[in-house]
Order: sequence, then C-alpha cells, then structure tokens
Amino acid sequence: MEEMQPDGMIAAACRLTGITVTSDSAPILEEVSVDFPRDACTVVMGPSGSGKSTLLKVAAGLVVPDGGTVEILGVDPARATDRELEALRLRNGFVFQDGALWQNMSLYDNIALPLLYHGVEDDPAAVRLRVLTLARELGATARLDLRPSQVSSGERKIISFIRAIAADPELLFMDEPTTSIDAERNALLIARLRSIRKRGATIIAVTHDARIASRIADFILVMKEGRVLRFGSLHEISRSGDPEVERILTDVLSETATYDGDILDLLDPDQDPIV
Amino acid sequence: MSAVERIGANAIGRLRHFIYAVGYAVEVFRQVPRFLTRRTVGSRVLTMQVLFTGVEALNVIATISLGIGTVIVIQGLSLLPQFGQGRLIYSILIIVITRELGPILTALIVTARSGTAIATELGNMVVNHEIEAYTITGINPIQHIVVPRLIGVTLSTFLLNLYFNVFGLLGSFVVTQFVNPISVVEYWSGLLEALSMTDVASSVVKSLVFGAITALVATFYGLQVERSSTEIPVAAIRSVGRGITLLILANAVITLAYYL
Repeated sequence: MEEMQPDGMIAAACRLTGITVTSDSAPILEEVSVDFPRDACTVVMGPSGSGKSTLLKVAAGLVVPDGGTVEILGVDPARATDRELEALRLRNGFVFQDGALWQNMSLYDNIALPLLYHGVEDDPAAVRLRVLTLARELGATARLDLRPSQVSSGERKIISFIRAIAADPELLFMDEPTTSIDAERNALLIARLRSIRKRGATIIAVTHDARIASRIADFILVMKEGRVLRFGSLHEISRSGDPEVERILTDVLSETATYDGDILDLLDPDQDPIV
Repeated sequence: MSAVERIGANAIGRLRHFIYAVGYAVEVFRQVPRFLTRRTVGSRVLTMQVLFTGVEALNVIATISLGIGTVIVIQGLSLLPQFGQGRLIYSILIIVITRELGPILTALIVTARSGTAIATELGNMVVNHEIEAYTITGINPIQHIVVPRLIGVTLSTFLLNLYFNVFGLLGSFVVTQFVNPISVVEYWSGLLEALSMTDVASSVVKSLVFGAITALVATFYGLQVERSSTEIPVAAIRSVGRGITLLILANAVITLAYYL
C-alpha cells in the first residue's frame, strides 16, 4: 500500500489510509492512501466510474469505508463524539453533484438553516444579510422564496455552493461544482473559489472542468479503476510524460472542452481556458 | 449453501436487523432531550407533522368514531334490555371505545396515512442525498428529521384518540335519542360511572405507545432506502405492514397487563 502525497507537502487537511470501499462485492476504492494538502486546492480527475465521487465522500466522512481510516482536520469521524463531529462539520462545506437541496424548503432556508442551526449568527437579520449578500455576489437570480424544484439545475447548483461556503469553511469539498452553470456565473464561482483559496482554505474538488483545474488547482490527483494513479502539482501532472495519465486527462478534459491545440494546455494557468 | 445453512443465515440476518432496529430506537430517544433543549429550527418540522398527522385526520377520525359509537349503541340497546342489563351499555361503550378501539383504530389510521407518507418522504430524501446534506452541514438527521416526527405523530395520536372518544361517545348519545331517548345528564353520568382511572390510563398509555411505534417504524423504513427510487414504495409497504403487526402485538401486551 503506497501512500500518495505530492512532493513538498507541509501538512494534511485530510488523510486517507488504506481506504477500501465495495458495493455489491465490487471494489470501488482499493487500498487508497492519500494525504490532501492543507491550505491548497486539490483537483481529483479520472474517467467516469473511477471512484472519484466515492473518494470525495469518504474524505468528507459521508461514506464509511469498508476498510482503512479517515482523518479530517485532525479528527477521525469514526471515533469522534457527537459534539466533535458537529464542530468538525461546521468547519467543512460540501457541494453535491446534484445539489442535494432540501426539497421541502425554500432556497433561502436551504442556505440559512445550517447557519441558524449552529448559531453562526445570533441575529436572524444577520443571517438574512449574509444569505442575500452571497446570493447577490454569486449571481443567484432566482427568487429565494422558491422551492428547489421551481428553479433550473444551474440555479440549484449555485444555491448548493452558497450553502457550502456560507459558514466560511476551512475545508471545502466539491463534486462537479460547475456542471450546468452558465459561463457568466461560472466565472463568478471560480473567482469566489480563488478568494476562498487565498484566505487559506483547503479545497478538494472532483471536476472535469479545465477552468477549475487551471485557475485554482495546486495539485492534481488522477484516479483509475478505484486507485490513485498519480498525485502531484498541476505542472508535474500536466507534463508528467506518463502516457496513461495524459490519456486519462485528455479524455476527461475532452468531455467538457473543445480545443484545437494540445488539450493538456488547458491545465496551464497562463492559458485562456475559456473555449 | 445447504438448506440448514440458509435457514441459519436468514435467522442471523433477522437477528442483526432486529438489533439494528432496537439500536435505532435507542438513538432516536437519546436525541429527544437534545431536540427539546437546543435552540433549534426543527420546531417547524414538528408543527407541520402535527398539522398533517393530527389536524388533517380529524374528519376521518370523526366519521369512523361516530359510526362505531352508533353501531355499539344500536346492537347493545337491541340486545341488553332483553336480559335486564340495559345499563351495561355504558361499560361496553367505555371498554370498546375508550380502552380498546379508540387507541388502536386511531393508530391504524395514523399508520395508514402518516406512516406511509413519512416512509415515502424520508425514502425520497435519501435518494436525493438530502440526508447526506443534513449530515455534512452538521445537522443531526435523527435530531432534526426523526425526533420532530416522533413527537408530532405521538402527540397527534394521543390527541386524535381523545377526539375519537369524544365523537364515539357523542355519536352513541345522538343515536340513543332515536332508539331509546334519555336525558344528557343520565347518559353522561352513566358513562362516568362506568369509567375508571384505569380505563383512562390504559387509553392514554396505548395512544402514546402506538404513536411512538408508528413514527419509529415509518422513519426506520424510510431511512432504510439506499439508492433507488424503486425502493421507496417497498419501504412504505413494509412500514405499514410491520407497523400494523407491532401495533396489534403492543395492544395485546398492554391489554394483558391491564388484567394482570
């Protein structure tokens, strides 16, 4: 079992050791050991079915692995008390692939509920101000009194993103955060991610979006068939010379982008990635 | 795998399921004081549950209890006076409506209406990753989703049982006026004479226990859904089937305890 961590890494925000996950006897993750660097953005890439989303949910403590241990911001969720777990969750945010908004609540309540529940703001008026400010800044144009089923999937994704960042988390997990979001709001979201990154938060994102990878990634983790194939800095990975890694990245990036040149150029931060 | 091994594996599976279900119930009750004491926004879920389970069931409970009260009085008044036991009708009304049918029929109606609704709603929440969203935002799903439903359904079942009693006994009085008119004072004093504190306690205990069983079974099976929407109707059917079985067993146990 080889522990994967990029060169020069200082400390782990999230440590996975010997993680095994199976579903109906089929392995999804096999003996995965990864240290996700603190105060950095790691983008997880790989073909569909390679176990990226499961890895993300294990790292966030949402899926209990069949084997191995998880440590999130120094806390083992399997051993933590209720209070420790609640405090840990408040330090995390998670953007689900499908938004996972609470259908029986308004969009406003979807964002405000965690803030009210944890008493992030004592005054409901302060919660309201925080929610409305975030909604305005991220271009959530739909009326916030609507239910999730009444708005577009892109709008739901934005609300899910706002819910995840509303309490200023130290560790942000994102599963395909930009899917079905239009270009204008995509740019707003990426700008927000850069500012979150600048204030020292750790970001772990599963994405096929070259714009996210090129603009905010410090590290890239490449997965294949439930295993970590490569983990390194953006430059190391995009120019690793490993034909298998290059083939996977090319396939992944081709799903969301059309580009006349070398598609791995899209991972270059200096390249204009909007295509 | 031989037949014996299959039987053994099945028995072990059922035992594990039972232990898990008991553990679930313990965890739910462990979260009740936390729900009640913390400054929580779950009170809205509780209010909605009481409205759906209690208020919206008033018509059906009134109709059924009126009908049953009517039938008891008609049958009783046509039979009992022939044996010189006309006043036994009051004891029969108390035993049947207050002690037996009130709590169990109310619970069966609540199971059929709210049990299926809760199991379906929670199953959908699992499939839509809403439960995961509660977990990741640090909102304990048991405390925020299950406990308000437990309290709401239990409280509603208790209040609906009172309502059932009022309508059942009122209905029987109305019918009495057509068959064998008596004064209001005579009717209610006859009922109060037949009513003992044990009858009231039995009815109250039953309605509280039945409400808790209905909520626990419905939430348990709703949360048992794992990934597919096709599992949701199965969960709803199981919750009703198991719920009714447990209600009848619990009714037998409490009634037995009454006579011991």
